[in-house]
Amino acid sequence: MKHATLRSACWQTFRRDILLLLRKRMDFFQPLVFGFLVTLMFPLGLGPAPDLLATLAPGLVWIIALLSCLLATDGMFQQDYDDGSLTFLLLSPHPAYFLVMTRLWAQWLKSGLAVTLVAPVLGVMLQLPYQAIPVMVASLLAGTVSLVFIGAIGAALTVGPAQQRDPANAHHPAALCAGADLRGCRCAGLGRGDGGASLPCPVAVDDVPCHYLGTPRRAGCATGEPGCRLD
Amino acid sequence: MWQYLKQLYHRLGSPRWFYQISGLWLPWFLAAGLLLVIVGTVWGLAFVPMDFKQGNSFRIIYIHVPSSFIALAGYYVMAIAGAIALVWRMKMAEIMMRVAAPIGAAMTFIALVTGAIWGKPTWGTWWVWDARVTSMLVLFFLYLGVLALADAYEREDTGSRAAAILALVGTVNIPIIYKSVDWWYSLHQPATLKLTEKSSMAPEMLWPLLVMIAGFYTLYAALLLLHGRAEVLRQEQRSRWVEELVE
Repeated sequence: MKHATLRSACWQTFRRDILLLLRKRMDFFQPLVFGFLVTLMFPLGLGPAPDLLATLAPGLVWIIALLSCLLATDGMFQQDYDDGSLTFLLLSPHPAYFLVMTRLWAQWLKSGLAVTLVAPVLGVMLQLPYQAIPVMVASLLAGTVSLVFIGAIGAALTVGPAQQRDPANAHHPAALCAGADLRGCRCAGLGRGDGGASLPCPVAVDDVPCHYLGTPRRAGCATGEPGCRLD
Repeated sequence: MWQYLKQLYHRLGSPRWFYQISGLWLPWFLAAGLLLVIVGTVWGLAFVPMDFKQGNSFRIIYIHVPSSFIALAGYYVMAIAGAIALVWRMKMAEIMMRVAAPIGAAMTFIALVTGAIWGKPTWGTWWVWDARVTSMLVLFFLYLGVLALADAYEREDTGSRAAAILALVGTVNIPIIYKSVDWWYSLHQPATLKLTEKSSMAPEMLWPLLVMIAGFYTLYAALLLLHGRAEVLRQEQRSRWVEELVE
């Protein structure tokens, strides 16, 4: 099979992220709604006096942006780890740097940019003077990028099997998947139900982008092969 | 009469019957609702005299007030359907609770946005943290919470049950919304329309408003039926009658 170019690998990674966003819209709206809820708390706690709120508004909006970016970024690698697609991302012959960068920018689009676009509404609700709003949006545009990138470090460091505390549980799907992939590609939904050829890893992984990318989450293991339980 | 209603109620509990009966009702509701809303809009926007204080901007009440009414009534519909679903495990009640949430959320959103648009020329600001406005915002988030919770589970009935409980808990907000203009010093005016006393509004402004409210209620019912039918088809897609229907 032909090697995918770096550009198409990045594009596929990006496309997958956007597809996931479209299919799990609640994951997208949750941090934004959370942002509004936090906004609601400030006037309830501080009192609704417009002058006070206007003074505090820029800082409050930044806090809200920080919290909702963190909420969105927090689990950005965990789901992929759980369903094994993170393994494929790293096993790809392309430099992980570019693929991860793509994911980070996609993540920024769906959390940082979204928060930035919502921020004017939050600003108006917090009585921020209108002439300050473009400045706030510009600062958030730069700020959310760094929030997402810094948050991603935290998200990457905390990725791990949920059952790590329980060593008796040997059925961890990601472990199973990773093991199975390295041997025989059984689990990757590559259409070789008989266990696949025992191909060396980099070759087998070549056709991963077209398979795991763009399929719905956890669809990779939908064939119900033995030893492949992804949930 | 009572027996007939009881029978109808039990029949409506079956998704298939609901689909058939609502198919008969839907065109009437839809036609009546559209007619009332169009008449009310034209009447309210074009023929009602200008308010001597607010000028033309007051005309937004012909959307703001009915949608706020529906926002609250829709919450009742959702919470009561949720309660029925919890107590009697009735499938149709679960479906109605699910479909009431997005419609109610949309109506609350319309009420909030039209209020903000009206507030700019009248109060001088898009948004105030006023008791009525804030409690309506909370209502909006309750709707969103029910929506999110209903979809958060793999199993649909678990999600419906959780959402029903949240909807019931959220009803505590409803009397707060109603009473907010009386309990707190508020920018929002107290109720103008009253069932028991004479309304404090000029009759030539009041009548189109009443027409709009009736139209919104009718359209709401039509929307509820429409979404309910779609949801019934979605949930029953594996049953035979739906298969026959599709063919």
